[in-house]
Amino acid sequence: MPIVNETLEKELQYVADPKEQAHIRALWKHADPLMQEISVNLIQGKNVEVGTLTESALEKGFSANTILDDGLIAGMAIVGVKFRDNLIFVPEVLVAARAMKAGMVYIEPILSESGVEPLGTVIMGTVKGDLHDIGKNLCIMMLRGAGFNVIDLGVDTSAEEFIEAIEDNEANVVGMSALLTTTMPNMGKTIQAFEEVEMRDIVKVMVGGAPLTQEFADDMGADGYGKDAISCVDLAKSFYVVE
Amino acid sequence: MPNLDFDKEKYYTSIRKLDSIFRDISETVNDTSKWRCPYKNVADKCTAKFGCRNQDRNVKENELYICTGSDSLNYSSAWETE
Repeated sequence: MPIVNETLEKELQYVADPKEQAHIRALWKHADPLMQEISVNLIQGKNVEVGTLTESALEKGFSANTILDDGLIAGMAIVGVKFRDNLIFVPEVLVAARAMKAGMVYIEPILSESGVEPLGTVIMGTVKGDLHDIGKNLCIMMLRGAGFNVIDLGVDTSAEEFIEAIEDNEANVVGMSALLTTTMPNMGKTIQAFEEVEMRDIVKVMVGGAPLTQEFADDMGADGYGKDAISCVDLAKSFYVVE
Repeated sequence: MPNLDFDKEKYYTSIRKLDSIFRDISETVNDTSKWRCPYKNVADKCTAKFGCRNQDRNVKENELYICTGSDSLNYSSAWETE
């Protein structure tokens, strides 16, 4: 079926390279108009609409595979191109990722029913005293995309909140982020708190943030340092494979 | 009735495709963040939850602050760090 959604057609015009446009256009070659609508709403970051449309598509008999490929991932492909070409920026990418998550809420029970387990659970938070969240949010987007279950504790997260989340979710990996040199030491204090409650042996700790270095991560006793969102996912995968 | 048919292999292919899209996005973030504040949205509004000297707070209630930062200057020194 050709693209019948006018807004989606307009979005495709942002893809300047004809070859690339043809490649992306082909993603909707067999897609129902409802899938095109899901894609458009995801590109525009409309999380409520993506959730509602995904639920409705499942009710109408579309498979989770179809919705994932022809609706959610196809939409995200356009987001990636628009971002690469500076037509949108990080906040818009994160809003689109939130919309994707809203759709995945309805897909996940089917994955679970089908025996697809998350790669593992990762607790993520920006440390106490720090309100910078964009690096953490990008890591969360990538971790979820890779198949991890992620518990987002937000910003200004105390050691107690990390400990509670690890216990509640039986998680084995924690990711801590800090952007300020003044809050970086709180990562070490949180690791110390894990030791005090005899939790250190059951969790792997990865840290990241602009001012951090591998040396600093080693000094405070972290198990891994991620310089960006890609390394964060690779670290989390390595921790769960080892276990 | 929801369709519960599910092809696991197809799903793993989809996840690899999504991971690849996100890896490209992450690489773009590494480049873009060198010249543009990552909290600044496409409408040049600030999405940060913290203070920054580049925020023009002369906006209506519940509206995002306007970012007055130049994309040709280092933005991070303007962030409130205390």
